[in-house]
Amino acid sequence: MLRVNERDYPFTEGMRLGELADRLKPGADMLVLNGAPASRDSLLQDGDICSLIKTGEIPSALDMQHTLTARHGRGVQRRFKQATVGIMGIGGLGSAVVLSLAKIGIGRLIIADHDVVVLSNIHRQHYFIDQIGMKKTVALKKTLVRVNPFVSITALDIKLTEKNIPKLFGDVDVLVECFDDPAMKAKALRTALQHLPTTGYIGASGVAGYGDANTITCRKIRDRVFLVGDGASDAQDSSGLFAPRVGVAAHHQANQVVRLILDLNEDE
Amino acid sequence: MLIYDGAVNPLQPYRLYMKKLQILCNGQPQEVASGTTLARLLEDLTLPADSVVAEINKKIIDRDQYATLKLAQGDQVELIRFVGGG
Repeated sequence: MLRVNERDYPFTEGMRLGELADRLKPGADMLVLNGAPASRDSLLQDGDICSLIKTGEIPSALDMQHTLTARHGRGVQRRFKQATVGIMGIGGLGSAVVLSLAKIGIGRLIIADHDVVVLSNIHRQHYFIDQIGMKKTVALKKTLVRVNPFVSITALDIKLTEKNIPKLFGDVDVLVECFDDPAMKAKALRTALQHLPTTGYIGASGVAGYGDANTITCRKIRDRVFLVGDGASDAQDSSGLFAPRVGVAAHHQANQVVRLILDLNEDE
Repeated sequence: MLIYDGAVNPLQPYRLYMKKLQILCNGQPQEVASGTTLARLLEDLTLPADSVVAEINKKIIDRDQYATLKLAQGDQVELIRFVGGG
């Protein structure tokens, strides 16, 4: 038996990938065999997993999930799809974290911020010039729909506090702290440690400047609690915030989300 | 707590000495004066209190307790300090 776009299809000896595409998805121009791109004349073997893709076509939810599964592996993608991740703050860190998580098909994302997109955000945050003046929640949701329309996005235009964080993010698997203000970072970790003891948590501290990116690490501080950054580079210092180094930290955070979802609860 | 200890300095027999407490701060032994509050410890370490999450003997401390919570002999203090930027 073959598995073609997530459906079983009977295997015949000598069958080639191109023939299969002609039969099941005429016009398909990207053929994926067991997770890797393959040519039309690839000889199929019993048990092969194939994805047949027509580029430019807006895929169905099922097609999207088929494609992600072909790329990431079935077990991993199933867990991504079932996961809920909360992102507190969608500035330089948060907008990059959210985009990354939408791309890999995390099932549900809860994003919260009460800021408006301004010109000084564009140099490091994932917003566009034509989004200046929009609420960040609205702007980012529009982008996310273009990236992966099948992720459930809950966008909260709200100022987060120690009181409302446990209520708003009570049912997430992993909570990612992407605030700019150090007092908010401390408040969020404090409230998570007190009120969300079983929730995975990934904070950030020390992402400013253009120092060696290799000094940014992901450090485990408690069971399922991690801190990303160099712990020292403060945005208040003259160096300011730069897209590359903030991006390194954001993707450290996103990667640790993946690891927590897959129950890899170590920092090694 | 202030205690009288005439034996410490015979030249100043009436001087009152601050009793010292030994604590562990982020795993490092540290001596602080008796009566030192968590807020005072942060001040001595030049850490802005609002940017610090503090845990004493595995218990997270509310921010509004920093000014009144006095450290005790043998306390295990864990401080997580945040810097800005995101």
